[in-house]
Amino acid sequence: MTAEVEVEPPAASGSSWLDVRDVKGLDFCSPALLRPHGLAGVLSISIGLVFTVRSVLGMNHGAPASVVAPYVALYVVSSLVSAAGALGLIKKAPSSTRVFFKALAMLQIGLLYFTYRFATFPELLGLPPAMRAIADVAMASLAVASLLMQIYGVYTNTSDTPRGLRVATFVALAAISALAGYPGQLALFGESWLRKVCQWYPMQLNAFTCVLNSGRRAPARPDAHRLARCQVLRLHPGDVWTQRTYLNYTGRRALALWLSHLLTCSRARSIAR
Amino acid sequence: MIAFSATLHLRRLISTRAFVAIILGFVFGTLIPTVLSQEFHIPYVSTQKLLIFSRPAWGCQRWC
Repeated sequence: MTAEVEVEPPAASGSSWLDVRDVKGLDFCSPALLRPHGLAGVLSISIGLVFTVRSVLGMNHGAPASVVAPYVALYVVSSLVSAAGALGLIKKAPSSTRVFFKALAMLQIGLLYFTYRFATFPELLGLPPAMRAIADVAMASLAVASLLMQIYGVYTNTSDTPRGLRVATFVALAAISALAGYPGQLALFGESWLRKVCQWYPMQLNAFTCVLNSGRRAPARPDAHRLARCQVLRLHPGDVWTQRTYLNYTGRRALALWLSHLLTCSRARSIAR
Repeated sequence: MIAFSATLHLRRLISTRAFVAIILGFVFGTLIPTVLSQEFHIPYVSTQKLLIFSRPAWGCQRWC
């Protein structure tokens, strides 16, 4: 989300972290009332925060689609309005930074399409498979192009940007670029790839979007989910399959295991019973 | 949030230090909890792999 930027060359960095005196000057309804960039951005970030917290607490995994769909719809619409508003505000940004804002707005639009794509909305709208395939390729290309634009922008920006700021931008870009991985594979290999992935990993659509429940294409399969949680907590140590999975633990899984023991050991045991 | 904080930084409402903190804080503050929560809430039935070309090495005979 970006707010309106006046054409005003920034001075040297100040010592204070936040100057709240000019916050009242932000125009949350520009560039137009139909696409209020700031207002939509606040809504989008608020819903996204609720999504993330729900996801971390596990409230979205296995929840019915009717519960999650309104959040998703609101998030997609508000973010889309915000991105459209940002594109209208780009000309007000300093010329050296326009490429970043344009690329970020494009990336947001591309990723919003895939939020929609990995949820249940394609079925709801009855999008034909051919149209869907074309849209997949177009939006994945948009996301990849926007990432390349940002990298190009970092390289060519020769203004007096502090080195720490450049490093932080690179780190953030590297983390964000991971988001284009699944859309890229879907665009390259098509719907059959997605079906196979959902067969191999029944809850993978939840993982694609982190928070979305897509009960239609990938049923929640409570038995598999419950079984997996019991296995994490070693509630079935005699199971050969369980022992084999333990051999494949990565450090990340081990850390999650440790956290799970700390946080919800008693809750998981009650599920197992 | 990154772009929003960038506009605030350009308008001199936040310092460079605050901008860097927001960039890194929001990116990793979102990434790490979501990765860990996926490992915790839906292990085995989902994967963290960025490139998915094959079935799980440990098999998926329970549901495949």
